[in-house]
Parts: sequence; C-alpha cells; structure tokens
Amino acid sequence: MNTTFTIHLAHTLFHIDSDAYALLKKYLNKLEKSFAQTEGKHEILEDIEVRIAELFSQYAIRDGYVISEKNVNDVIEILGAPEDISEEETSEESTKSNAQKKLYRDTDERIVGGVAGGLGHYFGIDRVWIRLILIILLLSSIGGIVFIYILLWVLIPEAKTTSEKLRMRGEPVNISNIEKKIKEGLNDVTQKVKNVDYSKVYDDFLKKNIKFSEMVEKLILLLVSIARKVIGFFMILFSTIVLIGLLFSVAIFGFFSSIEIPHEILFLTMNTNLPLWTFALLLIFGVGIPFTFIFVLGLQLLTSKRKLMNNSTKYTLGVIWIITLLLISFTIA
Amino acid sequence: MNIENTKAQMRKGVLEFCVLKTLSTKDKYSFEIIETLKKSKMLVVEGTMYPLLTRLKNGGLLEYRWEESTSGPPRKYYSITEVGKKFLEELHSTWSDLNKSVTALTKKS
Repeated sequence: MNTTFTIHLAHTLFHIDSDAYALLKKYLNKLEKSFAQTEGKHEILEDIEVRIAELFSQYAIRDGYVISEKNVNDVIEILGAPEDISEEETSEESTKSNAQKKLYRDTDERIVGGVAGGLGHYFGIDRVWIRLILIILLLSSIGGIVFIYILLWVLIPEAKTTSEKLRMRGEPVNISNIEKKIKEGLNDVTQKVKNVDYSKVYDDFLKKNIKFSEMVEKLILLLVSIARKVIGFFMILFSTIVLIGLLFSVAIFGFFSSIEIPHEILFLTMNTNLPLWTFALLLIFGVGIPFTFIFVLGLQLLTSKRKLMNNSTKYTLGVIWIITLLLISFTIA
Repeated sequence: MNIENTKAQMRKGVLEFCVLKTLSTKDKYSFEIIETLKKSKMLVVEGTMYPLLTRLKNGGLLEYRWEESTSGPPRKYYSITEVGKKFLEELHSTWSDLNKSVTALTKKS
C-alpha cells in the first residue's frame, strides 16, 4: 500500500505517491544546495519547478493520475542531476581559485556600490563594521571619504560570475592572516592607483554611460542614503538609551515600594492615591511607546525595509498611548 | 583529468552564443530554446539551460514576458535585447575567428 500526496507545483495540482514525493523532494533540495552560491537562485529553481510541472502534466492527462517514482526518475533524467546542472566549476578548480582571494565589489547586497561588502569579504569581517567605519570616517573627515569611496568603486571590479563570487568570498580567514591580507590589500590598492591609466578610466566611464549628470545624481543619492543611515543610527541609539533608562527607573520604583518608603518622597506621585504599580505602568506606556516608535523608525531608516510594524499594531499602540496620556494628566492634576 | 568535464567546458562557452543566436530570429519560450539546442546536439541535460537563461537575463542580454499556455503552467517567452544583439555580433565574429584558427591548426597537425 502506498500513501498519496497532493502537491502544488507552479500553481498546478498533482497527485503523487509517497516514494515519488520523497524522490522529488530530495532532488529539489539537492538543486537548491548546488545553486546556493548562484545569483538568481530563486528564479532558476522556479523555472525548473515550472518545467517539472509541465512534464508532470504531460504524464497526468487523465484526471486523478498519480505521479509515480518512474515519472520522477524520467523527469530527473531529462533535467539532469544537480551536479550536471550547476554552473559551478569542478571542485578541483574552485579550491584552487579559493586559495587566491581577490577583491571584488559585492553588488548582491549593496547599499551604494558594494564596496563595503567586498572589503568585508576580503578581510573576512562582517560588512556592518566596514560600513560603521565608513560612516565614522564620513563624519570625521568632512566628506573626504566620499572621494575615496568613489575611487574604490571605480577601481574594484564587480563580482559578476559565480567563480568571481567564490573568489571574492575565499576561504575563511583566521586572525594571523588578516594582518597579511591588510598589507597585501594596501599594496594592491597603491599599485592599482599607480598603474591606473587615467584616460582609460575616463573611457570606461563613458562606456559605462556614467555621464556627469548621472554621477552627480548618484552622488546625491549616496549622500541621501548615508544621511538616512546616520539619522537612523542616532535615532536607534537615542531611543535605546531612553528605553533602558526607563526600565531602570521602573525597576527602582519597584525597589523603593518594596522597602516601604512613603509615597510622598517620590515626586509626582504626591497628589495621587494610585498604587505605585499603576503609576509604573503608566510611565512605561507613556514614555516607552513613543520611543519604541522612534526606535522602529530608526531601524526602518537603517535597514531600508518599509514595513517593520503593521498598521494595526501602530494604531493599537497609538490608542494606548493617548489613553495613558489622558490618565496621567488626570492623576497629576 | 576528466574528459566529460573538458567536453562540458567546451560546450558551455559556445552555449551562450547558441542561445542568443536561436533567439535572434524569433522569441521563444524556454523549452523551445532547449529543444532547438537538443536537436543540434548542443545540450545533454535540460537543466543547464535554466541557470544560463537567468544569467543572460540578469546580464541584460535577454528579457522575458509571461504567456499563458493551453496545456499546463504559463510560459516564459525570452527575447533578445539590443545589448544582447551587440553581444551576439561580437561572439559571432569571435566564433568565426576561433573556428578558422582551430580548423587551420587541426589541418596542419
């Protein structure tokens, strides 16, 4: 006896027996793994799924047809084993190229030109640190870093192909050769700056159709995006400090109340008969909610994700906050 | 050394050229491209084509649109872009040069 599953492939419904299902799942998982490093991985997998669905629908002409293991095997034979499909070079070659790490720009996860990501890969540290350093340099050097950044942007090639990306990531770097890498990297850059054929760079600029106006536009976008990040960063910093302070003060409230210090000592609670915990709660809501908003807003600026909080959460928090404000004004008055 | 691997490498380089060429006259959906190439023995397994097409598309050489199909899921129809056409022209001349040199070389030895 065999169990039958119902699956959706590319929005089409198929019945498939359990063995065939297991086989198909294994195949798709293997494919996913072999494309893990490839650009446009989701799209490729989607295309392959669509093709599998197409082939399945050729077998399943009759309604209620159950896809068998043989069908899946046929499909795999047509499409090819994951090792054959993947565009990666053979392991022999890729280990060789891995050993020699190269500096590329990582445009997959870029904010501006992918320079920070590329440097991060090259030195084996998280790109966040590079970005942080860049921002600090930007603030302290009054924009000189912008010029250096653009220079790096022009000089460092973009990692386009898979092998370039592999080479960009390279082998995991341990502390002892980070130093070496930095030295090598500096040498590289100085050499490159020396060797650069400026007329050729200019030609490249024209070839890439980066006209002056586009450069200016890019520069402005760059500055805007940096400003966003800086503002976001400070919003997060500020609101975090306030929120931590709030938690501490509430904790201290709790502490004082537990050792029975008379109400009158704590300022603002003087005119009210409210129990302390209510007051602490009002404080948390009254101060915590707006600063949580600032925190989320800062996070939005920093990560450039549009929605970190859905509307209903926003409105609920807003209503709670207004009620809290009203309550506070009543109790103090 | 693996002979299959070398063969695959040889084929791979020319494959991009062939894909662009098959699309230069008429838009095709992915399986039509595959079929054309299979007929001319350029392709062993279908699967290799999907990463290739995605790469060409991301490189701006191809673009696609969705079209409904009467039998099965909707199909991606690929067409060649202006950049792709220029790319193809260059590949074509490279190919002719390569062809000439290799033919001359194999005749000599």
